[in-house]
Amino acid sequence: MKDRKRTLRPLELWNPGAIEKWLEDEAAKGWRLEDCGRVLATFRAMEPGIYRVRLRPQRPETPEARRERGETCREMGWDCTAVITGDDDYDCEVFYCGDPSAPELDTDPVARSWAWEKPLRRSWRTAWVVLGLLAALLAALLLGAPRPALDFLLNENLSWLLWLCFLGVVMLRRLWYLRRMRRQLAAGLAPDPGNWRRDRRWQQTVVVLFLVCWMLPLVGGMLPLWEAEPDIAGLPFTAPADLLEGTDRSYWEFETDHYVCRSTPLAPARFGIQYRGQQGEYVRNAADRLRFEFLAKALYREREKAFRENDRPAAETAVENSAFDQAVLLTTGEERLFLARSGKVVYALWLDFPADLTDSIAAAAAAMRE
Amino acid sequence: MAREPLKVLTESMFYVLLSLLRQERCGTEIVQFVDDTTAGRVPLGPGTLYTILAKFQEEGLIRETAVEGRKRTYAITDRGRALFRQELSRLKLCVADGDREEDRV
Repeated sequence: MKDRKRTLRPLELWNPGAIEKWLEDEAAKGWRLEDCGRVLATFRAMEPGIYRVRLRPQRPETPEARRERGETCREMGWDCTAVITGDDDYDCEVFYCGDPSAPELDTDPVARSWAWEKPLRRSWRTAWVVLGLLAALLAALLLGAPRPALDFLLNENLSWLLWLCFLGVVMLRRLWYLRRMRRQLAAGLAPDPGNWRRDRRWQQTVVVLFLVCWMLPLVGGMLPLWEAEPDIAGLPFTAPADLLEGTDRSYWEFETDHYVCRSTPLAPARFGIQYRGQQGEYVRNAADRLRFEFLAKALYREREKAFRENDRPAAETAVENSAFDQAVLLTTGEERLFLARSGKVVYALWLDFPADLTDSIAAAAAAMRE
Repeated sequence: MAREPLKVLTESMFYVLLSLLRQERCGTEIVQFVDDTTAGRVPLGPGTLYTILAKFQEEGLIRETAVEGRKRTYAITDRGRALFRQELSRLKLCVADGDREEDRV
């Protein structure tokens, strides 16, 4: 029979009642917490029995004082078997007591609130600071980006964004735990285990997700969802030489600065290619195959809006073609935008010279129908 | 949470100060004293004891006087005595009020 076992550690120490109940149940099965690192908790086998388990934040004190305190606790029936590493500069001692006649570890609610007060206050402050920083970072990334937020989201590998959102949820949950614990201590109540199994499942899920989010950028290359080669072959494209008569490929220079070709979680295939003619005219193609239709609709709206804002007033010409769910031709002076959406695919063609777009639209319709 | 905790002492705190009135004691002696004096009515858990000792030291109510091996001895300070007397007076008033009302009944 194994004499040790390892499992995921509790993520939060701010629900001590649930952790105590979990450890008591483990003790009844014959397992005593021996070590608790950043990720794993290690249990050692012992005689199964009914134990009381209590958590207490570790105070700053000299090693001698700690030893003396540990000795007295042991004499009074409470054995400190492990220390759970905390994440806000404080750790939590785990006490076991198998003697039913021994007094509780904490017999005075006011003294118990003193013991938790400092780490509780520090953790409360830290959680708000982290949430504030996260909100500021997200706002800076999404609102302060030079390009529209949607385009920004479609263009990015979202692992970092997931990670930030995930951290935000963890911090909010921590604040909820902290608030509950403050209220319990103020009321002189012992920590409530609540539904400790559900709490434990939540904590395990969080730890696993945290590890996955952390690992994703490292193993991203192995996951097609995150770093696939975009399949742009089926997306519509109009060659600039087809739009301006009397020109061939050598007339048009490919502009690398405006080139985009990638696959992201929200946009499995997208490209943007711009050509500049020798007389300064330009042609830009952009096609996106998105994960969801609502994103395609939003991108369509955003492109149309951006053109109208930059080049208003724009004359609008309806484009009738059954291959498109939405299509429009916008013209303002020499600037033109042909914009079409079919399902999850959005195609945009910008140019700044007069050209007959009939064939291009038909070709785009054919490509999008396929 | 108790942010100004030492205006009123809890029973445990009262007995910890009481245990140091006449002589210096270490942790286990304090627990023994409280248990004997109250005949087990006031249980003093080790978590509570060491939190109270740390807080009292922080507030200057007691001080550490000797360390012999793992045994640390504590003594009450003048400030501690003053707080104890103040608390004792408050409790006497409470008892007097209670007695008076009970006599009327």
